Amino acid sequence: MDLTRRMFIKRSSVAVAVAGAAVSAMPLVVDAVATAGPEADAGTAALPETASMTEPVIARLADVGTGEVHIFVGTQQLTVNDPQLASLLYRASR
Amino acid sequence: MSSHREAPEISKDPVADSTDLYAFVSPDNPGTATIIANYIPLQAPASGPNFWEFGHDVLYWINIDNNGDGKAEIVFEFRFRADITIPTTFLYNVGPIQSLTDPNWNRRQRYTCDRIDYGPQGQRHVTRMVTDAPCPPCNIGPLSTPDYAGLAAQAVQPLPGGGQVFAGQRAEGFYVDLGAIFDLGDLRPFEQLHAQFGLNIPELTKPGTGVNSTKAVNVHSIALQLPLAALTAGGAAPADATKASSVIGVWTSAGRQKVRLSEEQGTYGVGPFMQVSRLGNPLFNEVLVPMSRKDYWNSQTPDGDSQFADGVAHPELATLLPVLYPNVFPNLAALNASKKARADLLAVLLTGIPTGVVPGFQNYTGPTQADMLRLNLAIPPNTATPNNLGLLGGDAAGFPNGRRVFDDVVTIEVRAIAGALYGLVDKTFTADGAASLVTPGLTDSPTDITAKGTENYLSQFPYLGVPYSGFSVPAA
Repeated sequence: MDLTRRMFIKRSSVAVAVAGAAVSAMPLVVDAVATAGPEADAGTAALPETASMTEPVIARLADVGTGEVHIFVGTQQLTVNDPQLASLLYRASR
Repeated sequence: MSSHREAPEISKDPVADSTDLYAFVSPDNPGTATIIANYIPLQAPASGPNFWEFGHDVLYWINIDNNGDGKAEIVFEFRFRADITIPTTFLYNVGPIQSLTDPNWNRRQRYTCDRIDYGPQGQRHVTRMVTDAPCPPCNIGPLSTPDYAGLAAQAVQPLPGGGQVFAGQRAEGFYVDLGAIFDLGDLRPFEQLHAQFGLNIPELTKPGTGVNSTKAVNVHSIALQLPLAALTAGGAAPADATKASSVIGVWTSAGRQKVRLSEEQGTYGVGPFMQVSRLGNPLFNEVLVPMSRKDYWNSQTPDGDSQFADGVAHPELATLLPVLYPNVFPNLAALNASKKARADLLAVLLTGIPTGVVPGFQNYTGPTQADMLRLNLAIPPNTATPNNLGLLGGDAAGFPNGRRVFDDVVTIEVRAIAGALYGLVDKTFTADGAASLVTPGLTDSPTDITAKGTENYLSQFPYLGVPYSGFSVPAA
């Protein structure tokens, strides 16, 4: 496992960070739309046309096994349990 | 130091680093209490063009526990912002700053303060105390800030419901011989008695003179003066010092957002604020918590401090003193060998002193072990015969009953750790003679409330002195 690999691709004002203890101790910042597979397309297709981002959204892959993902936005931390999203983030970070 | 750079991580984040906390019944306005939380340690006054300021990305909290559970029932939350009014200059100011609205002043700070009251089930009730209140500039010099005291006085803002608030630069009021104490426990007035690890250093063969390491540096203070009734559980000014309801616990803390994202446009905080710094009693994290746990301690809240109680019950410094100063602390050495828990320190620092231990005094908040500065609001200020040793010097208006700006907390705590108070809880114990003498030597006597004239305390709010100017320090 390459523990030092980092990517930083900025796209618009959206950034998704992925850091999973089981994956890497280093936070990875990736452009999910650019590097993800079909699941990403399915996800974005469901968004309303008015969807826009005005502030960073950071995702931390907390547990790739259970699919627990922490979402940081504004002054909030949200937890979602979504194995598909976790899988997407994990593969995007490889 | 009291809490300056006291833990590895926070030592790298000065704007969030709490340095000292004071809480006392205001000597010139005894119907109020004053709480001062200091941040940003060891400021060199000459620091242009980017002079010191609070973190715009940090939340600062002053927390009040008024029912003894180690949790805050009242929180004063401060949020700062910095503005640049002249984007084309590299300068902090382009001419003398003679008012807080002076157009010559380029980089300036404002803040909001919210009071948050928590109900029994954790309900939040938020009251805006001030909006966009101005901080004064830093003290630069005679050309830039020609009447600094007057300028800073303009930044004292009244509060709704009574009281006042100030946030800005002040002269450091804490005094400590940092250079000696962290050179393996050297107390200069007694250094000829130090074991010296067999090094036999010629300079250490006779008593030395204490050196105030924090002389002529500045800090940033958040100071609140509030009616006593605004701090108690019942909303009434306490009048009976024997009642538990007269005692409050105070601590300060600061938080940063969990995620920090740096981009070309700037650096953003994302996510909830988490605590990265806290301070109740002076020197607690500094001296009583092992280095491996100091960062963790800074993330915790007082209601969980039983997890740190062993460092109070069996303080490392108490075991070091008889080793560093052979034959000076034999009774302390015997106490250490007995493995008895230091009930004196546990009371002073974690629960408050119950009734019956010190005649006529109590600041007990109950069995919950919590590092808080405990202040009995019903004990009036001592303006006639203040003693910098506080309760140890027979002055119940001083530390550990809250803490005044001039209290010699280093001497008090070193003496307490040396066993000066243990006889109060174990009548069979006699403190070593040295326990009532040991001092870093930064005051002339217990009645010296100026630290040998090195600290220019004010007699009125905000009590800490006018900050040192960059022009004057270091002196020519």
